[in-house]
Amino acid sequence: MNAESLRSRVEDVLRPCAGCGTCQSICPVYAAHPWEGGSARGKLHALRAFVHGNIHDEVALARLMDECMLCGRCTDQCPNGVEAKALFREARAFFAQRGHAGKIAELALERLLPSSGLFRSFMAAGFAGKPVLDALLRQFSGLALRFPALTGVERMPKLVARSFVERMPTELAGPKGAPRIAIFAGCVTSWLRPSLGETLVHALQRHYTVIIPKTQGCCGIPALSGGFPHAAKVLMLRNLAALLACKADVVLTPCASCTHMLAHEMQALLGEEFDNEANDIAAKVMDVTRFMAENRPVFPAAPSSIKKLFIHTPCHLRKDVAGANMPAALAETMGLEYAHHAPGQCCGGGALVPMLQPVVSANICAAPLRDFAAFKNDSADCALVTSCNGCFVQWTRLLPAGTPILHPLEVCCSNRVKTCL
Amino acid sequence: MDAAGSEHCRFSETDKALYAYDASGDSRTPPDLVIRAVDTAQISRVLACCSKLGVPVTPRGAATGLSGGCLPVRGGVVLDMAGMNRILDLHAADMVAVVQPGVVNRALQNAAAAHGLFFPPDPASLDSSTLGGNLAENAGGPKAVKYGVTRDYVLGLTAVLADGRVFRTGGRTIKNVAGYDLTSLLVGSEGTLAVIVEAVLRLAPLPESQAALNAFFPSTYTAAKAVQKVLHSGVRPVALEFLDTATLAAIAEHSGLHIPQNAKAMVLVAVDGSPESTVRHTALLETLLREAEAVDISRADSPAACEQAWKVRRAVGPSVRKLAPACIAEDIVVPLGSIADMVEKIQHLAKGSGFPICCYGHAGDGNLHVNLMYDNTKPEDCKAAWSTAEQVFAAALQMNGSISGEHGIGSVKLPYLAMQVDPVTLELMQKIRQTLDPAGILNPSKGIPAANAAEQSA
Repeated sequence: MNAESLRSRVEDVLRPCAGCGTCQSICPVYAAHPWEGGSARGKLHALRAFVHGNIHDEVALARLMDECMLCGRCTDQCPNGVEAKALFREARAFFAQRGHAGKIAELALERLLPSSGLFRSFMAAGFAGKPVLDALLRQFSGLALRFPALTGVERMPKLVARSFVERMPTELAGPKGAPRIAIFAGCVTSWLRPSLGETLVHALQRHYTVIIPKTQGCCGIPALSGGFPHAAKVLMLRNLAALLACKADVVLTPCASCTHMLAHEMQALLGEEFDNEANDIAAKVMDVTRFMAENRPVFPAAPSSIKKLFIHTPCHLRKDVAGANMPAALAETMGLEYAHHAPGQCCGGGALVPMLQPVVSANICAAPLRDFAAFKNDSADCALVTSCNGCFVQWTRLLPAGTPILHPLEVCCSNRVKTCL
Repeated sequence: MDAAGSEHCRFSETDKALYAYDASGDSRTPPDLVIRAVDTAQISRVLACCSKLGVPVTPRGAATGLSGGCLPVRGGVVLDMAGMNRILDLHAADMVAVVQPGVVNRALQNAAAAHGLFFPPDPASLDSSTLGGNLAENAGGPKAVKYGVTRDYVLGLTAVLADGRVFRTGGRTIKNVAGYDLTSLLVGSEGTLAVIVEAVLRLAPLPESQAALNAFFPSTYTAAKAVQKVLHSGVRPVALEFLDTATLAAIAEHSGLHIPQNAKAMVLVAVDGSPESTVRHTALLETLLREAEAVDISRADSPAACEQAWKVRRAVGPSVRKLAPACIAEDIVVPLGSIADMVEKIQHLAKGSGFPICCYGHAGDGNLHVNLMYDNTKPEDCKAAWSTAEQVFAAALQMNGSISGEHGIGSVKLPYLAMQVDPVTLELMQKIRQTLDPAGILNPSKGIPAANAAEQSA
């Protein structure tokens, strides 16, 4: 995108904007940082001032664009239909193209992520290197202060040597004539939480034929958010081919952000050329929570040591009513005490904000963290429940070490898995 | 900056550009410095310092105002109050809330609802506008027909004078006649007299039930007449909204909502109270509206149905905006007996001007929004639109109305204030302003014309 096309995009998107401030009232960034630049309205007007030549500092503006969760609440709530989220993503791409994304982001998102070989090697290096990093962080606790993006990295689960996708067979035959379910695992399930994927396989395999396509990879949302749509497209095409080949009836993802990417962003990203294929897959994609809500008998609840659930609804699941309500329904069936935090509150874990603007991200999570602590009230058997792996990473970094952070699936089925694997 | 605390100051090019606009669509000189207000002591230091140096200070809440009240006209400091957003006390027994100015109206509504209470002033922007802004502009809303406007719910204030001294007005009681009513003076003063840092607000019991009727009429005149009949029916509606032909046509075209084909105007009547009274009142009003020639009436009894009924009214803004690139959004108000005449007059002016004019609003209190839709890229259209706006003002004044019911004068309507306020009153207002702010730093060029400007024009 060049300066002229950005200019016309900004003009087009902003034409219906009345400046009414509705976007401000529901913006998670503004709630944590009540200043004009926090809100969508502020960012939109900054972009307008930029294309009109009234703001010249591109780097400052690029950093302002980083202070956005890309959650889309502004776009959903705008009475005048201003497509703020799409524009912010395009602006990130514009500034990335002009070299303002930062070298690390460029390396990670544009070079490393789309190359499956490189990515595999990087993960292996991470597997070996993580203990070293953790030791460094423990030794020099000031390191996390100087680099806030490193906060809580030592609390992350250890990377696995072989990913969930690699260690699973490609197909597990179910009962004769059973529907075919493909699992799209996503990076975190693959490399950090393979047990989540295994729990899912275990629950499904008695009723369905389960397929775990080998050539699947990252869903591409980090690249798309980071301003590298081309890299996202490369990833998405590979996933599309993998998912088409397995001829599944349903594609399940245990991460709300992957679900969002496959079900709602893929078509626009790949363009008309792949319309039929993308629509075919998008229609089959379902978040695990929604699948659980619609197929409760497949996931009978096992006794759990957890007594209290604090439910965090991911931004990317908030519009899926059945999926979003499932954890509460589950808690009721299991007789567990539960609470939601303020409706629709964001944890600050999305859109690479924890890396790009770690302080903003941590401030967004401050209120949810307080709510959690109040609900937990020092009880040892309280878990945080979320069905998005971006949120999982954020909560893992910020909650006290040792706090159980579970996918709803792990709330009802986790005990059985240990015996089966 | 020492007075403010450097960590609360922003002055980059981007920061300044972000504080040069609001919802009025007007855009002014960016400020030289944005200061994030954190407490009374800091505001006091900042104002004392700015008074000494003669630097203008423009207080700003959520910038949802429609009259440019929070736009810096001569640069200087923008005092961003949005961060002072704590509800300091919500006292159910006293039925009052003590709030900081940055609290968003909706946040107070939510907190009050937990105690079975609510804050009646409900400007359309209540999801995003701050109470400080509501107070500064004396905001109204649809519920004003039954509950009144912001000023009616302010019991006391703590404010900072331009020289930095802190003072309190009013108190925590409903009745209070000790001394002059400075609370009422500050409410609606558009940040020109002092900076409000704390407000004691009165709350009302949350009604048990609500209901709404959307009545469609064959002409604007019959609809405007129906408004008067409702006002005289003995039922006090909580909202009585009116939409004219051009507005309904815009909604039918752009919103996707169903509007009956033969409808040329709409009246929305909402009632609240006990379940028994809302049932009785809606039945009574339905009969009355049919007698007033309504061609179609839809009735909403549940909260969900009411939400649906209000959709037509809420679709006005977005639908009307699609008619033209720009809009002059006026909020004239006329005495209750003149509503039908004013609506007729506006239609007449619309025919003469050649612009689409959408007229709608809170007819129950005489407050009509007159939106002149024009193309702001054509200089001749801008001139003609404002000249039509001036004729609308003149018509409202001729009927003993006012040029602004709830948006305020701000900077946008400043040139027209002298049409309404006589020179002696204007001089009194200027004297009051000089007494409270001798250095003239608080929100200059807003609300009322500067004393020297009046002399020049005289």
